[in-house]
Amino acid sequence: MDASDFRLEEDQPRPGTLVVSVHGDLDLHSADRLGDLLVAAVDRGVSLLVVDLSDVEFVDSQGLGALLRGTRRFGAGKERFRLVVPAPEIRRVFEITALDQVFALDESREAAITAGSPTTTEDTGPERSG
Amino acid sequence: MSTDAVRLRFPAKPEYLLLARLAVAGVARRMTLGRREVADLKLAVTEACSNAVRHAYVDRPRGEIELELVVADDCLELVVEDHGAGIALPVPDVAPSELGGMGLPIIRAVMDELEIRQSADGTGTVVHMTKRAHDVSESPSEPVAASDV
Repeated sequence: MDASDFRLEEDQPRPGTLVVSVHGDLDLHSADRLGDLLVAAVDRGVSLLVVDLSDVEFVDSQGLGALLRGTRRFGAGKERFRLVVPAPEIRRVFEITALDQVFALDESREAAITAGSPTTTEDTGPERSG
Repeated sequence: MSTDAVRLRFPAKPEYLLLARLAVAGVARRMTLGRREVADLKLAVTEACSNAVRHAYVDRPRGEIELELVVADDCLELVVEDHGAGIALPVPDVAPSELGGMGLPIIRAVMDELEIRQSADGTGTVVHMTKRAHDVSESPSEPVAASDV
């Protein structure tokens, strides 16, 4: 996949839940776009944020940094900021950096939404207005 | 034992990081590498080149990155060189973490050897990384298909 094919898609499967799908390589060339989108999404107000990396073929430290920007802005427990990381090669990058202890990693979008929904988590999330 | 070398020179810009990954993946096909090992090589070369893009030419006109790939029967060497600001040596050996830069610790984690030195002409930085083939025989990873390159 060409880096120019990098794109981000937003989907709101239910009120308060936002799924950001990342397509392409996540590196220095693209990481800021993801980080900016995640920060903007958090500022708009969301109680569950799922970043779907199923269609990401490569992620490096800059991509991890963009995800860290998002989760720090989010501020709540990791149960409500979840990553879909089914590919072992991508999951390995999180394991190398011990960020698999920082992020909640799921195998599928459905699993992430289920695990992060209010009925399965204790906290209420940092939903903001404005 | 046969050894081949491939050399690339490209602008130190983020949009060329993909080129470095493609080159490494292509050369790695000469070896019997698993999917995980090729992913490690792409990660290492991207981190090294990304460091050069971000730090080498901050206070001067943007220059180039030279990438040399040396493939032998038993190892693959990745050499990333810039002619920029240089790096404070020695580089501390720290574990990958979200605190501070993760690039070099990631390289240490996925490659067998890492040497960082000043360029021969006294300017810039050379990041010399080696991946040995013996790791491959111990890995259950599936071979990489052509479509992965």
